[in-house]
Amino acid sequence: MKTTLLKAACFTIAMLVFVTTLTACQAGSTTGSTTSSAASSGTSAAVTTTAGNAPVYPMKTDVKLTYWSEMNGNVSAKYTNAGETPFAKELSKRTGIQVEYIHSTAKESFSLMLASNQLPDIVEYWWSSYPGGTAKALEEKVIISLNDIMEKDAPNYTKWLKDHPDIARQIRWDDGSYVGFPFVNGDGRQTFVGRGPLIRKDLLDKKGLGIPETVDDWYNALLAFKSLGVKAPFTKAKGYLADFIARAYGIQLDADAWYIEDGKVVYGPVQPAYKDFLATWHKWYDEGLIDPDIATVDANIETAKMADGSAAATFNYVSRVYNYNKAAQEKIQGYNIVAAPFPVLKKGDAYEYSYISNLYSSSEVLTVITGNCKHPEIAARFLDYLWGEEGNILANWGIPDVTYTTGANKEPKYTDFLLKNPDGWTMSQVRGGYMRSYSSGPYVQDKRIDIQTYVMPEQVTAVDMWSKNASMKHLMPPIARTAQENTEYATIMSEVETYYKECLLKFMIGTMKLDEYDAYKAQMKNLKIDRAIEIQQAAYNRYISK
Amino acid sequence: MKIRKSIWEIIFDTFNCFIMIIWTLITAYPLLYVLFSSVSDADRLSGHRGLLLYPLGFKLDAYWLVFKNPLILSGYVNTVIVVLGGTALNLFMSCLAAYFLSRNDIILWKKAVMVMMVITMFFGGGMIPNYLLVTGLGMRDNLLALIIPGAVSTYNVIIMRTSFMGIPASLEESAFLDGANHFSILFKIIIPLSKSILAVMALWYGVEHWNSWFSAAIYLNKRSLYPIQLVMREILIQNAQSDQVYTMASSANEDQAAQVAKTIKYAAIIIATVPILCVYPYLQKHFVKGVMIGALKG
Amino acid sequence: MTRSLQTDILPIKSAPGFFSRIARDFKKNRLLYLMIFPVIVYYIIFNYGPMYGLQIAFKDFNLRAGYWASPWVGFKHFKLFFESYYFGRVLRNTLLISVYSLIFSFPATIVFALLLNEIRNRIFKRFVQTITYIPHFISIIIICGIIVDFCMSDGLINDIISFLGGARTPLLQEMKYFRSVYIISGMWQGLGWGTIIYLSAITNIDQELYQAAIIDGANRFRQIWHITLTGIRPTIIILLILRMGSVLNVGFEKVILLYNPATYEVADVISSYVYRRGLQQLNWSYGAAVGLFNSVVNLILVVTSNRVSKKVSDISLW
Repeated sequence: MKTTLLKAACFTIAMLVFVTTLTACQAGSTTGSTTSSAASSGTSAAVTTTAGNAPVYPMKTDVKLTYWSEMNGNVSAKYTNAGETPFAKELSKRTGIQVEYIHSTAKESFSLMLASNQLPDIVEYWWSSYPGGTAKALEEKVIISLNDIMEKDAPNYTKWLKDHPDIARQIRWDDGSYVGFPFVNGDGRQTFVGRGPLIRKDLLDKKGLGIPETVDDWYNALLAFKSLGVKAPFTKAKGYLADFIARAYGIQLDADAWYIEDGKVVYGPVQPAYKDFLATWHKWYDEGLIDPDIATVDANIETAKMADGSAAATFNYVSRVYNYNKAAQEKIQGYNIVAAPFPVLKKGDAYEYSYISNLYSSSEVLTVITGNCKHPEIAARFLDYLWGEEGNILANWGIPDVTYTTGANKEPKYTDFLLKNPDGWTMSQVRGGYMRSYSSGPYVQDKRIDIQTYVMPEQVTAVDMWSKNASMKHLMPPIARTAQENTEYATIMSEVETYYKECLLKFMIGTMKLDEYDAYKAQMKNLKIDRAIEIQQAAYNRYISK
Repeated sequence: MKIRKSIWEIIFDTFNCFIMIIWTLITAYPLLYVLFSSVSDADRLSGHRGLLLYPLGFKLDAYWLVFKNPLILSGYVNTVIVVLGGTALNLFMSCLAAYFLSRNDIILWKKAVMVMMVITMFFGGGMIPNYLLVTGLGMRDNLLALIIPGAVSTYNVIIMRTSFMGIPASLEESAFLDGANHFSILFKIIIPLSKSILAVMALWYGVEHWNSWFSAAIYLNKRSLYPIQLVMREILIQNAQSDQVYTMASSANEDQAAQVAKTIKYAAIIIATVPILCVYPYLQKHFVKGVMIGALKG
Repeated sequence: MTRSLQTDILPIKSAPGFFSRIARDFKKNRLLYLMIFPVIVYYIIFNYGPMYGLQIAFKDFNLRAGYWASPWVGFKHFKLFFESYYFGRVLRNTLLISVYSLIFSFPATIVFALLLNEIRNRIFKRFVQTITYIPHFISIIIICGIIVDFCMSDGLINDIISFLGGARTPLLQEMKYFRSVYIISGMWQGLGWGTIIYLSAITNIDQELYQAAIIDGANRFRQIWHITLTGIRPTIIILLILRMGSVLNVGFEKVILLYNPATYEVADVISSYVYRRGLQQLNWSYGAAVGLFNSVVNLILVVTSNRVSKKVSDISLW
């Protein structure tokens, strides 16, 4: 670690000196990157041909890279190896670098590959799940950092980082290292909320109720459903007990249980307002407004219940509306599910605790150059292509005139080849073959790609409604714990989460009474939640001061 | 000699029949459920809860999709090779071991061998050392990687040994007196008298080979060598994505894919399981009474 | 008695006597040793060869350093496991589920085999045998999906319960029903398959014993008890001893498919707990340590039951 830091520091200083002298000499240079002259290296920083600079791509090299990744179902539906896809072929053609793709066949493939020391040149994987974390992988020289080569061999990525200092800060490690090429959601995507409360409008109409906006509205709506004979007014598959009501109280649970309140890291299940939420939730369960079997419901049963009318409200992705409608059309006349806004406590309150995510997450897939790579510069060049303008379009939109066309306003537009493929391929499968935007990977995902694929107008309105007031106020940024902290944190949290989940259900059902809440808090303390909060706060502080 | 049945026996038999019928119906349900689901219309299936007593609609889409896959034929062939080759090796090795362990003779190392084998039932090195060993022996991309590791299961050997020990020693003694050695006793006396336990072992080992996919996943890179379970698993994964579309709704294509995705897991089970289900009835004929008639007197 | 005599008579000859015993034994049993030789070779290569992997339970294993260079940490992982807040609970649940399974499923399989054997009509018997073993082949995921659906408050089982006058309850949300559902569903899936070995053992019973018993006037039940059951006794005992060796091996897949936080108290077993913990990180060493703990306990149980069996009956593994 220390040597890397030292190296990085020396390198940066050297580069600064070198580059300032260079820019002084290159007055009036016509490199494609305008503001980033400080970052430009001796060779061209632009990807495309520009006057006075020789193009980098396609490179003239005989080096063949090996690239390991998991096989995505959208690709494997039509191809046996990623190398056969038109996307891969186009990418190799444009970069001039030949790549052999190797895929995992089982969850354990990754570990086996490492254990038998068969590291290929490039590995696309969720390195945060490496034992000890990505930091450990770097330490063990399984992967290498880019700092030494990124200016020269990954100019697009370097430029992109310069243009996006906020995200660059998130991606950059505490010690200044850049490791691998991450996946980043493009500008505007963080406030894209694709899931929310869904409710039966036809039943609401029957009772003359409007779409609920406050927690009390929801209470009345669910009561109304009950009186109409709905056995399980609100249901949800286990594992994600819809903390959307909790959020009205300012509590985030489950996947987002760690969030920020005024610069302090908090954990939802030990916040004071949690008790109020529990009171409401228990009341609802007691009055039969929540599915009595809710702890056992799985995804199939949830769909079935929504479709046959046993349940009338749930929380899910907006596309499920289509599924519910299709499943219900035979049995129920006038079946109509719509999206409802996220409830608040008092009418007019802002929905602060939104379901948004960071543009960058350290637990997403990371494409690294491994310690075994003999030509890291070539590997960097290969991966860097997708970070340039043309590369980004290739990754998001595919191959020109095949999967997209550029309109008069320079906006790319998907063609019918993707939207209504004549051979019966689904949109995901076309994406799987012709671009990377079917899943995360080493590129920046364009926020415009989704809207064009929506077929149902209800989807668009739902997403708009859910996203419109999304707030970043409490979002936990991508913090990083040290390997040491991580082990401690993992141990504490596995017990804490078990306890939290059990108690949530017990409070809901009534096995634990609300006056036992203090005992619950005491037990949480016993399980060292305070230490976990400490660890998270330390990581957060480090992040803020980066 | 005709024996009169007592009244209790008649009650017992009727009661027994009754229980058996109920139990058969109950245990037939899972297979029927899977079968009906595999040909049902996916949307109606989504909305269905509770007992499924008949297919909801009739669509063979899932089956078409599976059979279109070019690896189905090679999948079956590879699996049959592994099942036959593997089981043959299993039976051979297990018979040798069971015979050795079932002898009443004083063999100095018999207990040691047993202990050595039993320990392996409890302690193992884990996935990675085994992987390194098998690949180190050059069995990567070779069906032998599915046959040789796992050639003997201590559990099965112990059961076979128990069965061998049940064969009266008098038979062997008389054979010895006639000048036979251990090999001829094993192959000419013990094995012919052990048809039913051999049938059980063939079934156990065979089913184990039939169901395995993990070894194939980690040792085989050539897809033409994939056994059927691995092919099925791939198909399931390929289609699982279609079912989890969460940002898009549907064109007709998405619809179609989502439909198939829901029912394909059932079709895959039927295709991958029915062949092996047919094996047991065939082996059942070896569970015939009367193998040992008169053995005592012999 | 004989032993002391021997030591009296041959005190000095013990050293050479040992080797000559080996030599004599090899000479006498050479064919048997020849037979077992390939088996021993197999075990050494494929079972003992990889056993060095066990050491990571005592190390902080990392893939890069490999098995030999990873640092030793002694009992760190074991302590972590034993000191975890839920250790006692998951251990207790694992044991209880195994024991209940033993008390109910094990005899049920035998009884079912005996009943099957008593079916007089050969075609009906074959038919029942064939159908009842099929659920064993259906993936546990599907089986559990069916069970979860049936156990809902408005599911099939509650329909039957309410038909019989009981109250509807979400069965899988109540702690008191979890084990019953787990075990009964286990029987649903595995009973038919489990009878195969017993049916096979029954075929090895001398038919003439039955004729003799009938002549002696024994009715069906006495025949079953004294002949059939006694005939398969060795099989039963050996299977029982072996069953002791998997007491701590309650598999996580089925538990995870059937449990939920409302039933963690009784349903969370060692494997499911470790699985959830493993989701945080790929911790090989921790998993290895827990596995080693399980193995040691299981081995102790087998050795003990083997010894007990040796004294009580004359059937044992060694």
